[in-house]
Amino acid sequence: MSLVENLHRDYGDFKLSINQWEILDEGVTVLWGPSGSGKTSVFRILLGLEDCPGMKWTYQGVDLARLKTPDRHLGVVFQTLDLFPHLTAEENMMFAARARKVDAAKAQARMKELVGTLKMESFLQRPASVLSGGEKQRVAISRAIMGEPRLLLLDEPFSALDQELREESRKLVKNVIEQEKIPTLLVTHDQRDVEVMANKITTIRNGQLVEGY
Amino acid sequence: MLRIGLVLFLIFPFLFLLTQFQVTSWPDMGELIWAFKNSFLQATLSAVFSLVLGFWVALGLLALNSPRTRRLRFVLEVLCLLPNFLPPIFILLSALSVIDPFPMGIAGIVIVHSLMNFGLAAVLLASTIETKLGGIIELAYVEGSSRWRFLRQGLLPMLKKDLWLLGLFIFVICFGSFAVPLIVGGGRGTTVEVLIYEKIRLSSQWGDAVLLAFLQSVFIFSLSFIASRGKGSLHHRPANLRLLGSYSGLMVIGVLSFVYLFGYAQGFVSGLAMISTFYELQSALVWNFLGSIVLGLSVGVLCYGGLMWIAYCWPKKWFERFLNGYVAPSTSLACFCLLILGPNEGLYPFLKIPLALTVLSLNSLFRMGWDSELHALQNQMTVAYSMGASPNQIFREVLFPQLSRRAGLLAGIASIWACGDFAVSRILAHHDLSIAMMTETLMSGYRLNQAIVLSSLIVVAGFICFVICVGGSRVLSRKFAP
Repeated sequence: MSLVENLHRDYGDFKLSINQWEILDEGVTVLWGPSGSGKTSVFRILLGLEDCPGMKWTYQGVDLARLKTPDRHLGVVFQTLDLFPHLTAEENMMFAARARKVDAAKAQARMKELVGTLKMESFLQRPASVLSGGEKQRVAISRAIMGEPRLLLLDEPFSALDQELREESRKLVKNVIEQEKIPTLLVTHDQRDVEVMANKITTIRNGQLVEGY
Repeated sequence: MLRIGLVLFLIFPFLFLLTQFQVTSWPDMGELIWAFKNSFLQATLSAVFSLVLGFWVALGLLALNSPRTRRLRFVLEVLCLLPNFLPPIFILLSALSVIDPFPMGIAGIVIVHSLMNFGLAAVLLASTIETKLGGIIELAYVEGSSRWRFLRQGLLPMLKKDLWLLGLFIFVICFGSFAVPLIVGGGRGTTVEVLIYEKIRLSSQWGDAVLLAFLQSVFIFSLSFIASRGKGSLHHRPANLRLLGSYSGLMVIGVLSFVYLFGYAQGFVSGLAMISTFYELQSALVWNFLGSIVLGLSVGVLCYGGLMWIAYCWPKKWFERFLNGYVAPSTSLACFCLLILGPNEGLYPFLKIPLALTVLSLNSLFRMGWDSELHALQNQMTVAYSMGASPNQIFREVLFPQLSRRAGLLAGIASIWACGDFAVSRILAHHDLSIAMMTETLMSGYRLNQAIVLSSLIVVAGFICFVICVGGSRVLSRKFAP
């Protein structure tokens, strides 16, 4: 278990107040809540993109909250996916490996594995700017995993896909998370994401956790 | 460290101002008030005329909002923006050629400034009306409102803030303008900017000049601060604007474009008849043409580097705030602080002029779309940063390949401005180094038609520099692609 404590932040018209929250060491912890409940703020604070003085986040004996964003060693996929459009799918993935200084041979082997699992052979050499929504989404997940993160953080990663693709994507992502054994935090408002992906569910409303912790 | 370095580079003239601020005696108050009054008056009148003409022209542009007329509208918008985009020397030459006798003084400055800024005001206003009020205009049209009633009771009250901010923006540009008052201000229209120039160049009263520059900078900064605060929300939806569109606005574009295009063409034809007078200048022409190219390219390269420097330092809240609030120093101030630093002979002007032009242009280039380019890439930077990428890797693999072409385009624009510059060069060089300086010399000697013919070489030099900057940036982006 990783334990988040004292996550409190006042945005003026909105307050986040989480005293204690456990995130699974294995499988997928889902943070579910309606729009405006504070999910994305929690997500950004955990990434270190927003300050939260006093917060403690203990993971395998390390307080991640004291580290800078890059040093937290997290993998991330935002709602907007944010691939580098001028790079190919493969270059996007290798970018993450280089960022974390993963050994080149190891990175190649890992990429091959991910390409197989997420069925990306057909578009690996295409620039990200011309990929379809589903393809982009798979590249974004692979890119996040390539850097061998401690934890994978996903913010509404399926929301940009149409209904049919979404279902397929959930299964693929669930599959790769299980295969790679990376603890994952999924932030979503979609009940179907919860049903397919969750090993643990935490609900957030008005900046407070209301169940499941 | 790099951020601090860039900030220091941009505020160098202001720092210089602080270190040199030794006012031994209060300057002649009568002269000071007179220059401020002239600056204020010309800037106010320029802003008012530009807004009135701009508003009228905007109604003309709005008459062309159907898909059929889109191309024509684009051409007219280019005609409108051309005087604002070209170096001031072209508009000066056109106006002086077509308005004869030209009213030197405040009136002359206002005419040239209005000619330069009406198009910018028109294009911005048309876009604001379209995107902000399109729905309301449609509603008023459907409900049968008359044009006059809607203008008076609907449009103008709703646009009040935008008009005010746009007017303030033009006022600030005109208040700090140097090249135009220097040429057409005459003895009666001396502005603060020109007075600073005269204090140093003619009477070596540095203390007075520094005090004037300080007062002017504070005044411009305060106004720019107000002008940068208000930004309305925009809604993008194509709307039917028949209620407002007026073809009379197109006539205004026609008349004003005629003034600057016909004036230039007429002077050019007359000047060609005197082409033989250039034979004695052949050698100077060749060297000064090369001088223009060297200055244009140096500014292009420095601006390209400066823009990339900004990109490397992005994003940081305080840095962004600084760039948004920063006001480029007065032309005279930036030039004179370089003038007293080191020698001014030999090749030194070729170092100092590009440096001064870069300090003066970088902020305009930043606001001409560089800031929005950087904002558009911010999410990619955040992802890369979260993944642990170093600033070097983010710059090399994410930013540079995506920004190089845009930086090249903006650097190319700056190089065209540099080719057309005579004001900065006149302060920092003791003799003509470029075609623009030669043109200004001819213009000052009332050899207007020859000056116009000569200025066509500025277009050639500007075009060459622009192409090299744009092409070079493409080569670099390909060469350093990951």
